[in-house]
Amino acid sequence: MENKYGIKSVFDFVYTTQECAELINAIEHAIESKYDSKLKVMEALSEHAAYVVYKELEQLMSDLGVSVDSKQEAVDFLNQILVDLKSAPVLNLTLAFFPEYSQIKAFTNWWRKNINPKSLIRIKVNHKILAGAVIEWQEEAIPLTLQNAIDKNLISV
Amino acid sequence: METSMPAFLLSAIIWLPIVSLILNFVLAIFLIFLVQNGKLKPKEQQQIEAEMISVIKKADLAAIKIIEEATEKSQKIIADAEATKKVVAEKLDKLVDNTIDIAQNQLDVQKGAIVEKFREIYTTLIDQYKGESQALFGNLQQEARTQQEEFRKNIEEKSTEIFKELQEKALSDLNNTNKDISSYREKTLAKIDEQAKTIIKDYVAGYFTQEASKKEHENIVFKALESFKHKNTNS
Repeated sequence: MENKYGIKSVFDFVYTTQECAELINAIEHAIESKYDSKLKVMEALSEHAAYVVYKELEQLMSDLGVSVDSKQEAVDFLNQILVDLKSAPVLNLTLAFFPEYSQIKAFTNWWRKNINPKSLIRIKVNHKILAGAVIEWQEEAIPLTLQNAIDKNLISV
Repeated sequence: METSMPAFLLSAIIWLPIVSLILNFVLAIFLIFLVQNGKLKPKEQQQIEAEMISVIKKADLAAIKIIEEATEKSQKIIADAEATKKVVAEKLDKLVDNTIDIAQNQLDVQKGAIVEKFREIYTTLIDQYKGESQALFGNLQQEARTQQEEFRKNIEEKSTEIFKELQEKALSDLNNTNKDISSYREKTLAKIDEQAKTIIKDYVAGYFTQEASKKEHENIVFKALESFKHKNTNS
Protein backbone atom coordinates (compact mmCIF):
# COMPACT_ATOMS: atom_id res chain seq x y z
CA MET A 1 0.00 0.00 0.00
CA GLU A 2 2.62 2.48 1.00
CA ASN A 3 4.78 1.89 -2.02
CA LYS A 4 2.02 1.92 -4.52
CA TYR A 5 -0.34 4.48 -2.95
CA GLY A 6 2.08 6.75 -1.08
CA ILE A 7 1.48 7.71 2.46
CA LYS A 8 -2.25 7.47 2.24
CA SER A 9 -4.04 4.14 2.65
CA VAL A 10 -7.45 2.66 3.24
CA PHE A 11 -6.55 2.21 6.91
CA ASP A 12 -6.66 5.97 7.31
CA PHE A 13 -10.45 5.80 7.26
CA VAL A 14 -11.26 2.19 8.01
CA TYR A 15 -10.76 1.33 11.64
CA THR A 16 -13.20 -1.30 12.74
CA THR A 17 -13.98 -4.75 11.46
CA GLN A 18 -17.55 -3.61 10.89
CA GLU A 19 -16.38 -0.77 8.64
CA CYS A 20 -14.06 -3.22 6.97
CA ALA A 21 -16.86 -5.69 6.32
CA GLU A 22 -19.11 -2.99 4.94
CA LEU A 23 -16.36 -1.71 2.69
CA ILE A 24 -15.46 -5.19 1.50
CA ASN A 25 -19.10 -5.78 0.69
CA ALA A 26 -19.30 -2.50 -1.21
CA ILE A 27 -16.06 -3.09 -3.09
CA GLU A 28 -17.12 -6.61 -4.06
CA HIS A 29 -20.37 -5.21 -5.46
CA ALA A 30 -18.41 -2.51 -7.28
CA ILE A 31 -16.03 -5.04 -8.79
CA GLU A 32 -18.95 -7.17 -9.92
CA SER A 33 -20.29 -4.14 -11.76
CA LYS A 34 -17.34 -4.22 -14.15
CA TYR A 35 -19.34 -6.65 -16.25
CA ASP A 36 -22.10 -4.05 -16.54
CA SER A 37 -21.12 -1.82 -19.43
CA LYS A 38 -23.57 0.85 -18.48
CA LEU A 39 -22.48 1.20 -14.84
CA LYS A 40 -19.21 2.68 -13.71
CA VAL A 41 -17.32 0.99 -10.93
CA MET A 42 -17.28 4.04 -8.71
CA GLU A 43 -20.99 4.53 -9.19
CA ALA A 44 -21.60 1.02 -8.06
CA LEU A 45 -19.32 1.63 -5.11
CA SER A 46 -21.15 4.76 -4.11
CA GLU A 47 -24.41 2.81 -4.09
CA HIS A 48 -23.11 0.22 -1.60
CA ALA A 49 -20.58 2.10 0.48
CA ALA A 50 -21.25 4.70 3.09
CA TYR A 51 -20.96 8.18 1.70
CA VAL A 52 -18.10 9.17 3.95
CA VAL A 53 -16.22 6.02 3.12
CA TYR A 54 -16.86 6.46 -0.54
CA LYS A 55 -15.58 10.02 -0.41
CA GLU A 56 -12.48 8.94 1.51
CA LEU A 57 -11.87 6.22 -1.05
CA GLU A 58 -12.40 8.56 -3.91
CA GLN A 59 -9.97 11.04 -2.32
CA LEU A 60 -7.45 8.30 -1.82
CA MET A 61 -7.70 7.28 -5.47
CA SER A 62 -7.29 10.88 -6.50
CA ASP A 63 -4.30 11.31 -4.22
CA LEU A 64 -2.71 8.20 -5.61
CA GLY A 65 -3.42 9.16 -9.18
CA VAL A 66 -5.80 6.31 -9.89
CA SER A 67 -8.24 7.19 -12.62
CA VAL A 68 -11.81 6.72 -11.53
CA ASP A 69 -12.91 6.72 -15.16
CA SER A 70 -10.76 3.71 -16.07
CA LYS A 71 -12.81 0.70 -15.15
CA GLN A 72 -9.86 -1.69 -15.15
CA GLU A 73 -7.61 0.62 -13.14
CA ALA A 74 -10.34 1.18 -10.63
CA VAL A 75 -11.02 -2.55 -10.34
CA ASP A 76 -7.34 -3.29 -9.83
CA PHE A 77 -7.15 -0.65 -7.18
CA LEU A 78 -10.22 -1.98 -5.42
CA ASN A 79 -8.94 -5.54 -5.62
CA GLN A 80 -5.75 -4.45 -3.98
CA ILE A 81 -7.76 -2.70 -1.27
CA LEU A 82 -9.78 -5.87 -0.86
CA VAL A 83 -6.66 -7.95 -0.39
CA ASP A 84 -5.31 -5.49 2.16
CA LEU A 85 -8.54 -5.41 4.11
CA LYS A 86 -9.03 -9.16 4.13
CA SER A 87 -5.49 -9.80 5.22
CA ALA A 88 -5.51 -7.19 7.95
CA PRO A 89 -5.01 -8.65 11.43
CA VAL A 90 -7.75 -7.87 13.93
CA LEU A 91 -7.37 -6.52 17.38
CA ASN A 92 -10.26 -7.65 19.59
CA LEU A 93 -10.63 -5.10 22.33
CA THR A 94 -13.12 -5.80 25.11
CA LEU A 95 -14.03 -2.67 27.05
CA ALA A 96 -16.17 -1.90 30.07
CA PHE A 97 -17.97 0.97 28.30
CA PHE A 98 -19.37 1.90 24.94
CA PRO A 99 -16.66 4.09 23.42
CA GLU A 100 -17.29 7.09 21.21
CA TYR A 101 -16.18 6.69 17.63
CA SER A 102 -13.39 9.16 18.22
CA GLN A 103 -12.17 6.95 21.03
CA ILE A 104 -12.29 3.90 18.76
CA LYS A 105 -10.21 5.78 16.25
CA ALA A 106 -7.82 6.86 18.97
CA PHE A 107 -7.34 3.29 20.18
CA THR A 108 -6.87 2.01 16.63
CA ASN A 109 -4.38 4.71 15.76
CA TRP A 110 -2.39 3.97 18.89
CA TRP A 111 -2.36 0.29 18.01
CA ARG A 112 -1.30 0.92 14.46
CA LYS A 113 1.41 3.28 15.56
CA ASN A 114 2.80 1.03 18.27
CA ILE A 115 1.95 -2.53 17.25
CA ASN A 116 0.74 -3.06 13.72
CA PRO A 117 0.00 -0.33 11.10
CA LYS A 118 -2.42 -2.41 9.06
CA SER A 119 -4.64 -3.76 11.74
CA LEU A 120 -8.34 -3.44 12.37
CA ILE A 121 -10.18 -3.24 15.62
CA ARG A 122 -13.21 -5.10 16.90
CA ILE A 123 -14.84 -3.62 19.96
CA LYS A 124 -16.75 -5.73 22.50
CA VAL A 125 -18.36 -4.46 25.66
CA ASN A 126 -18.37 -6.31 28.97
CA HIS A 127 -19.21 -4.25 32.06
CA LYS A 128 -17.92 -6.97 34.38
CA ILE A 129 -14.33 -6.08 33.62
CA LEU A 130 -15.05 -2.74 35.33
CA ALA A 131 -12.31 -0.84 33.50
CA GLY A 132 -9.31 -1.40 31.26
CA ALA A 133 -9.42 -3.88 28.41
CA VAL A 134 -9.07 -7.48 27.40
CA ILE A 135 -6.66 -7.45 24.49
CA GLU A 136 -6.94 -10.37 22.10
CA TRP A 137 -4.16 -10.32 19.57
CA GLN A 138 -2.80 -13.16 17.42
CA GLU A 139 -4.65 -15.91 19.30
CA GLU A 140 -3.59 -14.58 22.66
CA ALA A 141 -5.91 -12.95 25.17
CA ILE A 142 -4.45 -10.70 27.82
CA PRO A 143 -6.85 -9.41 30.48
CA LEU A 144 -5.55 -5.99 31.45
CA THR A 145 -8.70 -5.19 33.36
CA LEU A 146 -9.54 -3.71 36.70
CA GLN A 147 -11.47 -6.86 37.57
CA ASN A 148 -8.37 -8.94 36.98
CA ALA A 149 -6.22 -6.53 38.95
CA ILE A 150 -8.60 -6.70 41.90
CA ASP A 151 -8.66 -10.49 41.81
CA LYS A 152 -4.87 -10.73 41.59
CA ASN A 153 -4.24 -8.19 44.32
CA LEU A 154 -6.69 -9.83 46.69
CA ILE A 155 -5.20 -13.25 46.07
CA SER A 156 -1.69 -11.94 46.63
CA VAL A 157 -2.84 -10.33 49.87
CA MET B 1 -6.02 -71.03 175.48
CA GLU B 2 -4.33 -68.76 177.92
CA THR B 3 -7.25 -66.29 177.79
CA SER B 4 -9.95 -68.98 178.60
CA MET B 5 -8.40 -69.92 182.02
CA PRO B 6 -8.63 -66.45 183.64
CA ALA B 7 -12.27 -66.20 182.49
CA PHE B 8 -13.17 -69.41 184.39
CA LEU B 9 -11.44 -68.25 187.51
CA LEU B 10 -13.02 -64.85 187.23
CA SER B 11 -16.48 -66.45 187.06
CA ALA B 12 -15.83 -68.52 190.24
CA ILE B 13 -14.53 -65.50 192.15
CA ILE B 14 -17.58 -63.45 191.22
CA TRP B 15 -20.04 -66.14 192.41
CA LEU B 16 -18.28 -66.70 195.80
CA PRO B 17 -19.40 -63.43 197.56
CA ILE B 18 -22.87 -63.85 196.23
CA VAL B 19 -23.13 -67.32 197.77
CA SER B 20 -21.71 -65.94 201.04
CA LEU B 21 -24.28 -63.18 201.14
CA ILE B 22 -27.10 -65.60 200.55
CA LEU B 23 -25.88 -67.81 203.43
CA ASN B 24 -25.61 -64.81 205.81
CA PHE B 25 -29.11 -63.75 204.82
CA VAL B 26 -30.55 -67.23 205.54
CA LEU B 27 -28.78 -67.25 208.96
CA ALA B 28 -30.20 -63.86 209.83
CA ILE B 29 -33.72 -64.96 208.87
CA PHE B 30 -33.31 -67.99 211.10
CA LEU B 31 -32.24 -65.95 214.06
CA ILE B 32 -35.13 -63.50 213.57
CA PHE B 33 -37.49 -66.43 213.50
CA LEU B 34 -36.12 -67.75 216.73
CA VAL B 35 -36.46 -64.38 218.43
CA GLN B 36 -40.04 -63.92 217.34
CA ASN B 37 -40.98 -67.32 218.64
CA GLY B 38 -39.72 -66.37 222.13
CA LYS B 39 -37.32 -69.07 222.39
CA LEU B 40 -34.66 -66.48 223.28
CA LYS B 41 -34.58 -64.21 226.16
CA PRO B 42 -34.31 -60.41 225.63
CA LYS B 43 -30.83 -60.27 226.91
CA GLU B 44 -29.82 -63.13 225.08
CA GLN B 45 -31.83 -61.78 222.28
CA GLN B 46 -29.93 -58.55 222.37
CA GLN B 47 -26.72 -60.40 222.56
CA ILE B 48 -27.75 -62.49 219.78
CA GLU B 49 -28.89 -59.53 217.75
CA ALA B 50 -25.61 -57.83 218.49
CA GLU B 51 -23.83 -60.91 217.42
CA MET B 52 -26.04 -61.14 214.44
CA ILE B 53 -25.29 -57.55 213.51
CA SER B 54 -21.66 -58.19 214.12
CA VAL B 55 -21.86 -61.30 212.06
CA ILE B 56 -23.70 -59.44 209.38
CA LYS B 57 -21.16 -56.67 209.47
CA LYS B 58 -18.38 -59.10 209.42
CA ALA B 59 -20.06 -60.90 206.62
CA ASP B 60 -20.53 -57.62 204.81
CA LEU B 61 -16.97 -56.65 205.38
CA ALA B 62 -15.84 -60.07 204.38
CA ALA B 63 -18.04 -59.95 201.42
CA ILE B 64 -16.79 -56.49 200.48
CA LYS B 65 -13.30 -57.59 201.03
CA ILE B 66 -13.87 -60.69 199.10
CA ILE B 67 -15.49 -58.65 196.39
CA GLU B 68 -12.67 -56.17 196.43
CA GLU B 69 -10.13 -58.91 196.41
CA ALA B 70 -12.02 -60.65 193.66
CA THR B 71 -12.28 -57.41 191.81
CA GLU B 72 -8.63 -56.75 192.28
CA LYS B 73 -7.84 -60.25 191.28
CA SER B 74 -10.11 -60.06 188.37
CA GLN B 75 -8.67 -56.73 187.44
CA LYS B 76 -5.22 -58.12 187.84
CA ILE B 77 -6.24 -61.16 185.90
CA ILE B 78 -7.77 -58.89 183.30
CA ALA B 79 -4.68 -56.77 183.32
CA ASP B 80 -2.54 -59.84 183.13
CA ALA B 81 -4.77 -61.21 180.47
CA GLU B 82 -4.60 -57.96 178.62
CA ALA B 83 -0.86 -57.88 179.04
CA THR B 84 -0.73 -61.46 177.97
CA LYS B 85 -3.09 -60.67 175.20
CA LYS B 86 -0.94 -57.76 174.23
CA VAL B 87 2.16 -59.86 174.39
CA VAL B 88 0.42 -62.62 172.53
CA ALA B 89 -0.89 -60.15 170.06
CA GLU B 90 2.53 -58.65 169.70
CA LYS B 91 3.98 -62.07 169.35
CA LEU B 92 1.28 -63.00 166.93
CA ASP B 93 1.86 -59.80 165.06
CA LYS B 94 5.54 -60.42 165.09
CA LEU B 95 4.93 -63.97 164.06
CA VAL B 96 2.64 -62.81 161.33
CA ASP B 97 5.12 -60.18 160.35
CA ASN B 98 7.91 -62.66 160.38
CA THR B 99 5.78 -65.12 158.51
CA ILE B 100 4.81 -62.44 156.07
CA ASP B 101 8.42 -61.37 155.80
CA ILE B 102 9.47 -64.91 155.28
CA ALA B 103 6.69 -65.46 152.82
CA GLN B 104 7.48 -62.18 151.20
CA ASN B 105 11.11 -63.10 151.05
CA GLN B 106 10.26 -66.45 149.67
CA LEU B 107 7.86 -64.78 147.32
CA ASP B 108 10.53 -62.30 146.38
CA VAL B 109 12.96 -65.07 145.82
CA GLN B 110 10.43 -66.98 143.79
CA LYS B 111 9.43 -63.88 142.04
CA GLY B 112 13.05 -63.10 141.33
CA ALA B 113 13.50 -66.57 140.05
CA ILE B 114 10.40 -66.27 137.97
CA VAL B 115 11.48 -62.89 136.70
CA GLU B 116 14.92 -64.24 136.02
CA LYS B 117 13.43 -67.21 134.27
CA PHE B 118 11.10 -65.00 132.42
CA ARG B 119 13.96 -62.72 131.53
CA GLU B 120 15.96 -65.65 130.37
CA ILE B 121 13.08 -66.99 128.32
CA TYR B 122 12.27 -63.54 127.16
CA THR B 123 15.88 -62.87 126.18
CA THR B 124 16.00 -66.18 124.38
CA LEU B 125 12.74 -65.42 122.67
CA ILE B 126 13.88 -61.91 121.87
CA ASP B 127 17.14 -63.21 120.48
CA GLN B 128 15.32 -65.84 118.55
CA TYR B 129 12.82 -63.30 117.40
CA LYS B 130 15.59 -60.89 116.54
CA GLY B 131 17.31 -63.51 114.47
CA GLU B 132 14.12 -64.55 112.81
CA SER B 133 13.08 -60.97 112.42
CA GLN B 134 16.39 -60.04 110.90
CA ALA B 135 16.19 -62.96 108.54
CA LEU B 136 12.59 -62.20 107.79
CA PHE B 137 13.36 -58.54 107.44
CA GLY B 138 16.26 -59.34 105.17
CA ASN B 139 14.02 -61.53 103.06
CA LEU B 140 11.31 -58.94 103.07
CA GLN B 141 13.80 -56.27 102.21
CA GLN B 142 15.12 -58.33 99.35
CA GLU B 143 11.64 -59.14 98.21
CA ALA B 144 10.66 -55.52 98.56
CA ARG B 145 13.70 -54.50 96.52
CA THR B 146 12.80 -57.03 93.87
CA GLN B 147 9.19 -55.93 93.85
CA GLN B 148 10.24 -52.32 93.90
CA GLU B 149 12.53 -52.90 90.97
CA GLU B 150 9.82 -54.76 89.08
CA PHE B 151 7.33 -52.09 90.00
CA ARG B 152 9.76 -49.40 88.89
CA LYS B 153 10.34 -51.21 85.62
CA ASN B 154 6.62 -51.70 85.11
CA ILE B 155 5.92 -48.10 85.93
CA GLU B 156 8.72 -47.00 83.65
CA GLU B 157 7.48 -49.19 80.80
CA LYS B 158 3.90 -48.18 81.36
CA SER B 159 4.86 -44.53 81.68
CA THR B 160 6.91 -44.70 78.51
CA GLU B 161 4.10 -46.48 76.74
CA ILE B 162 1.48 -44.06 78.01
CA PHE B 163 3.72 -41.10 77.28
CA LYS B 164 4.35 -42.42 73.80
CA GLU B 165 0.65 -42.95 73.22
CA LEU B 166 -0.11 -39.53 74.61
CA GLN B 167 2.63 -38.00 72.52
CA GLU B 168 1.38 -39.74 69.39
CA LYS B 169 -2.17 -38.77 70.20
CA ALA B 170 -1.11 -35.23 70.97
CA LEU B 171 0.85 -35.05 67.73
CA SER B 172 -2.04 -36.57 65.84
CA ASP B 173 -4.46 -34.17 67.51
CA LEU B 174 -2.08 -31.32 66.85
CA ASN B 175 -1.75 -32.28 63.21
CA ASN B 176 -5.49 -32.65 62.90
CA THR B 177 -5.96 -29.37 64.70
CA ASN B 178 -3.40 -27.72 62.47
CA LYS B 179 -5.12 -29.17 59.45
CA ASP B 180 -8.46 -28.01 60.76
CA ILE B 181 -7.06 -24.59 61.56
CA SER B 182 -5.35 -24.42 58.20
CA SER B 183 -8.47 -25.57 56.41
CA TYR B 184 -10.60 -23.21 58.46
CA ARG B 185 -8.12 -20.41 57.85
CA GLU B 186 -8.10 -21.07 54.13
CA LYS B 187 -11.86 -21.26 54.00
CA THR B 188 -12.21 -18.16 56.13
CA LEU B 189 -9.65 -16.27 54.10
CA ALA B 190 -11.31 -17.45 50.91
CA LYS B 191 -14.62 -16.23 52.27
CA ILE B 192 -13.06 -12.95 53.34
CA ASP B 193 -11.36 -12.64 49.96
CA GLU B 194 -14.59 -13.41 48.23
CA GLN B 195 -16.48 -10.93 50.38
CA ALA B 196 -13.76 -8.33 49.98
CA LYS B 197 -13.75 -8.92 46.25
CA THR B 198 -17.48 -8.59 46.16
CA ILE B 199 -17.41 -5.41 48.20
CA ILE B 200 -14.56 -3.91 46.21
CA LYS B 201 -16.04 -5.03 42.94
CA ASP B 202 -19.43 -3.67 43.91
CA TYR B 203 -17.86 -0.40 44.92
CA VAL B 204 -15.58 -0.19 41.91
CA ALA B 205 -18.32 -1.38 39.59
CA GLY B 206 -20.62 1.22 41.05
CA TYR B 207 -18.03 3.86 40.48
CA PHE B 208 -17.00 2.83 36.96
CA THR B 209 -20.52 2.17 35.72
CA GLN B 210 -22.12 5.24 37.21
CA GLU B 211 -19.53 7.84 37.97
CA ALA B 212 -16.47 7.27 35.80
CA SER B 213 -16.47 9.26 32.58
CA LYS B 214 -15.66 7.85 29.19
CA LYS B 215 -12.49 9.91 29.26
CA GLU B 216 -11.41 8.16 32.44
CA HIS B 217 -12.19 4.83 30.85
CA GLU B 218 -10.23 5.85 27.78
CA ASN B 219 -7.21 6.75 29.89
CA ILE B 220 -7.33 3.38 31.59
CA VAL B 221 -7.59 1.61 28.22
CA PHE B 222 -4.54 3.46 27.00
CA LYS B 223 -2.71 2.35 30.11
CA ALA B 224 -3.73 -1.23 29.34
CA LEU B 225 -2.44 -0.82 25.79
CA GLU B 226 0.83 0.59 27.09
CA SER B 227 1.09 -2.35 29.44
CA PHE B 228 0.52 -4.74 26.55
CA LYS B 229 3.19 -2.99 24.52
CA HIS B 230 5.60 -3.09 27.43
CA LYS B 231 5.07 -6.81 27.89
CA ASN B 232 5.47 -7.57 24.20
CA THR B 233 8.60 -5.44 23.94
CA ASN B 234 10.21 -7.21 26.91
CA SER B 235 9.24 -10.70 25.74
